[in-house]
Amino acid sequence: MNAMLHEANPVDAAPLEARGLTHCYEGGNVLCGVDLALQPGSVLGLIGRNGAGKSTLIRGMLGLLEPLSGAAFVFGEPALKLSDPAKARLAYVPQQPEALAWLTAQQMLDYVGRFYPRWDAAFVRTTLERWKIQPNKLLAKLSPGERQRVDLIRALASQPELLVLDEPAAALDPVARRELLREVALRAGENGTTVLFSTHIVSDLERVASEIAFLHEGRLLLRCGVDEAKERYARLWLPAAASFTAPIPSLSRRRHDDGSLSLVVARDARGHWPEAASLPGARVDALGLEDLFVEIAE
Amino acid sequence: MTSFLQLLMLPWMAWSQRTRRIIVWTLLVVLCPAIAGYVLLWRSAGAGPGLAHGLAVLDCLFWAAVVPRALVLANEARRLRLPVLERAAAISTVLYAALTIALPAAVVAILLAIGRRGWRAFWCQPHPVLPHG
Repeated sequence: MNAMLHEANPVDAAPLEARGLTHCYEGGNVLCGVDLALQPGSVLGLIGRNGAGKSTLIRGMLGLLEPLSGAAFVFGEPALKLSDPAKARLAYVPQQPEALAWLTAQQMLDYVGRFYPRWDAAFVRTTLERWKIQPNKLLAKLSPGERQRVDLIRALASQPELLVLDEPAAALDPVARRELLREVALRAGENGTTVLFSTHIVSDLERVASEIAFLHEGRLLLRCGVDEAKERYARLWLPAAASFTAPIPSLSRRRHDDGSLSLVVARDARGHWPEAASLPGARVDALGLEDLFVEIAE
Repeated sequence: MTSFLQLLMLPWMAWSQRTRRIIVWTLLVVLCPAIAGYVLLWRSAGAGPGLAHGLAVLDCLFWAAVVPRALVLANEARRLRLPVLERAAAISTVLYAALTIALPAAVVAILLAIGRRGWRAFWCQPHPVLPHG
């Protein structure tokens, strides 16, 4: 909507950027002014519960839906009016790959490949073989996992500079998931491909992501490096007697039946925990990514 | 992928090979008898409306085979953010729409001209393929 008003400079532009994206379905806000920009070569894992707005954010960032307010840019171009050269640098795998289902895997890949200047036909051939996908089977007759893999081959064969995967591992078995993550990590490492992928599988994030963004109820609660998230955030537990102290800034807060309080807190600029951590009986527990995710999401 | 021929081919290439074969055979089955009938009747007064009717049928077949596919392609290309295809499919649809209007319009114009000059005056002239005998 406001895309033309916020036109960015394509030279210095981030591969993918959202500025104040807001969207709602049937009166309920799905995205509430989300700002998110990907740096070239970064692998950003977008994490959140089902219905948190991950897919809507991705679709908004790619110009697949018109936001109520805010704007999105791909390589500096307004996402709603992407040029063909910009589209050729981008590959997107939707959560449910249903496109071109009347073709066989090979036909679809051959057809789509014509539109990409850097299409890697050899990669298609070898990966179809390696992933044991029958090239002459109709896409409509493949299992969801196989279709997702064919769509991933389509995305990777175009040798994109920006790869956007919406829940890419949702229909994959653990072996296929690991292969996919390896491929993504390889692309990011060797070719400098910028990757945005959404997931609710935390272990996937830890394998490949350099950064995480945590989306909760349409708001971006947290954006930081994976290692930084583990070091910077912790669970502060305060016994009932100490739980009514002055307000402590926290990402989440949960009061237990016995009156004790659990909070997710962050270190300050000097690397110190909030003062409440030194109260008698207070305890600071380190959090893994999964714990952090659960604590914030609950 | 923007030359005239490529735009014409675009919706066809999106059909599977098997479906393309079926469409071609259907067209042949409809076209061959139509052409044969036209050749047999070509000098009779009923040939003009027959030709117009045949073209209308052909138009319908083209619309049924090509246009939905082009529209679906444009939609799929948009959903996947594929380059070129969305625009090319839209242009291809417009092109086929124009052709399906332009071709019958040309035939109608010819038939009107025939109506004015008389059917025999228009057709009963030396013909390179079927010489007047």
